[in-house]
Amino acid sequence: MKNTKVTSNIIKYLDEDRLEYLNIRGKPLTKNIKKTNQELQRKLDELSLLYESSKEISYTLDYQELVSIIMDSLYKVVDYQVCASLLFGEEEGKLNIRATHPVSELFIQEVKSKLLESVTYITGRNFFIEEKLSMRIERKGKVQSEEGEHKEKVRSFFNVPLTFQDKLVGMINVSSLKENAFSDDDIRIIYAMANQASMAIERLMTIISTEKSKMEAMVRSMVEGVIMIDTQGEVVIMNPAAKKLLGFNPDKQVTSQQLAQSFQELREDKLFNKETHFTEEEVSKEIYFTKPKPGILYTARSLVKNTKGEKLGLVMTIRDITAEKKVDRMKTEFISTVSHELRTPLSITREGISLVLDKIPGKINKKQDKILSMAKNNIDRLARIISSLLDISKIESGKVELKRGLVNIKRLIEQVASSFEPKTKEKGLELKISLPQEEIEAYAEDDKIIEVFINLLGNALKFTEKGYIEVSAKELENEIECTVKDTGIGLATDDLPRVFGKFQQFGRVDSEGEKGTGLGLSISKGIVEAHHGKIWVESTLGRGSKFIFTLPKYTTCKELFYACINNGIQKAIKMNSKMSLITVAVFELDQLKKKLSQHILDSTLKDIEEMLRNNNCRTGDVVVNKNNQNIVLLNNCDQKNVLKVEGRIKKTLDGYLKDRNLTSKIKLGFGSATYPDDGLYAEKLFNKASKGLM
Amino acid sequence: MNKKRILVVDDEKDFVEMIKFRLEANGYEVMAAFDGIQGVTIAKKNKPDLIILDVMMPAGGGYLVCERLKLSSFTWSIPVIFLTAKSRPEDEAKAYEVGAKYYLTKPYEPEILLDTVKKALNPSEEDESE
Repeated sequence: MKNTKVTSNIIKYLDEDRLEYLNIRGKPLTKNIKKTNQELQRKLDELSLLYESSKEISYTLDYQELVSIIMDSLYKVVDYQVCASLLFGEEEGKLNIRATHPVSELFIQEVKSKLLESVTYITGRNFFIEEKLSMRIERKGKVQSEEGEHKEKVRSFFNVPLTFQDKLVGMINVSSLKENAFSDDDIRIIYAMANQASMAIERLMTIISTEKSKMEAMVRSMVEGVIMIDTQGEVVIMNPAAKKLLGFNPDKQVTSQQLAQSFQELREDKLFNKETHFTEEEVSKEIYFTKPKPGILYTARSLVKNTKGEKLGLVMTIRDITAEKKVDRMKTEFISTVSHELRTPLSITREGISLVLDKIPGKINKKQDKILSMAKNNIDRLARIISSLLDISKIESGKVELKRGLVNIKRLIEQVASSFEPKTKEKGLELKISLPQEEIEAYAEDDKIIEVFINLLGNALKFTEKGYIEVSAKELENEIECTVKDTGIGLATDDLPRVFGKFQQFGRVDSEGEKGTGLGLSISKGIVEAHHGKIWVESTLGRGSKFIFTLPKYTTCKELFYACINNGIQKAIKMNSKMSLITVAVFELDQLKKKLSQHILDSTLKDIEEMLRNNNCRTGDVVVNKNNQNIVLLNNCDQKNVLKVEGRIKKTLDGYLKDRNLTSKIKLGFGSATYPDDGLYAEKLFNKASKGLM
Repeated sequence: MNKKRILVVDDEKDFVEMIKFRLEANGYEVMAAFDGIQGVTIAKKNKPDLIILDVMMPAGGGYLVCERLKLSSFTWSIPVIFLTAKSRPEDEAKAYEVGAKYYLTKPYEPEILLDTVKKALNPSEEDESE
């Protein structure tokens, strides 16, 4: 529906030729009329835009709009005091009276009766007695006093029929106090205007109808199910695919009750009905069903809004992913099986060689030692390749589950760099670290980021003979950027695009260190991208290389917490279990900064975080800390249990504060929430758990 | 001095040979079983001091064997070390759930294996306990 230009060309209102044709009796058309035509054209363009952007879901033509436009434009061409329109709907008539000058009640009544008279005559429907006549009167200015009323007569008027697709749909009446207010020319032009407008709308309607049927055909034939409900929960759209997926007859209508029942049976009653919280959040969920055969549905739900931003309803797409999931499971099992199969003969060979090297079956000579040592090194290399392949498979099949938290990048870099110090020194290279003053915090899994740095630094070390290696990080507007730069042999431009590919190794490795697997950069790329970051290289042959990657940062408490909570929700959905969260916050941090020394405050906050971490020895439980707020995410934990854990934590922390005589100075706040009982989204859960805190 | 007796349960005969070499060279006596049923039978009959268990085996995998051993009064107190190619955290967690004491992956580092065997046989020498 994006062909505004086309439709407005088609709807060219009164073009120059037509205007000339209407140049009646040699009288040149006034500038006024030309201008009016332009304005009318503009208004019709507006109208066509309105329909193109699907203002109404049901694509009905609002004749009222059309009539308003005509009535507005008429005023510019013709001098009248009252203009009235009557539209005949299927059931009711809509009468609209607009007075541009102050006129008496009598005048208006006369206009009304004149209009109804002619309409009744033409249609045979008696609008005088029809109860279903909705009326609207717009007036400018006050009605005149009764004195001048007898002067107020309709002295001239004319009626313009409104037709649409050869059907009479309404009538416009234009009335004036003056005698002979409307010339023949005026009348002819007005008729032409109304006619043109009708034709233009007809063309528009045809286009809309074609587009609509295209859309309908598309939705009907989609393999994916599409359902849309309005704000009252009524089913607006439900294609055959959706009906089939939910167990309905694809040829029959589905009522909103039936739909609600269907979701109830799937135990997803809150997912898609009029009570569903109509938020911006897009929710995707995997639903397990048992009839007719067990399977999994993938659903994605989002809000429908019109161009004004008003909420119209919810739309959901459904897909049967049972087969996909099966393939997925098979892939995982395959990876697992293959790695097992490879590792067993590997371990036998390795142990065999080790045993001989360790002289257990007997002494060996120097040559035998040398040969077997080489063999052992290569077995180890094989083992590393297998592990890397497993990693890559996991990453590429999206199976890597990151345990993300707040990562202090500065500390991490210092840690990794220091481990590379001895080797860099040995090679006679300088290891530079450049970090800014402020803390740099990324939302990532620290072990994985360490892996990336180790890979990049290892490469830099391998391929640099003289000069330096520099590691740096900086905080940009939307992300954290980390760089490993070296003055090594660099990469040829041709090789640059392949450098992150699997089993790519460039340049001779002169050093006697471990031979690489050729998978390091591929894994690093997988890790960075799993974090939704980017990695790339800038390099010239002979002039060193610069590897740069970005990581997401979270600057506000809320963003970080929401992201962590969402992770927890996804896990809970996958495992079909409940998840709970506990918030622990230290109140009035600013006041505390004045009352206590920085040192005590810092160490207390750290200790609190530490104790929360130690309190959760279950794998998968996550503690996230940001300044004075902590949230603890507990997998597989329902409301009863979370209260128990909360109580335990309270006790521990209260005890801690007591021991240090801080009970009077430091106040802690606690709260908890459970998914899905207390809410389906991070925001709602967090708000519930933070009630009463900050 | 009595030699400590270790039962190795693994369906790969070559693997069992290698590990036997390694363990015997370090003063242990080694018994072998090549599937789950054999493993449980020999354990019940001979009551070894330690069991090293593979996971992927016919006639009852390592998890099942470990469960059985823990249920029998003859064998529940024998420490079990899982030695397997399966390396996912879930696999390890499951092993502890069925009562394993330690979990090692293949290929193993000989020193680590020997160390773990020592620890399992002399729990009093451990620094930390749960």
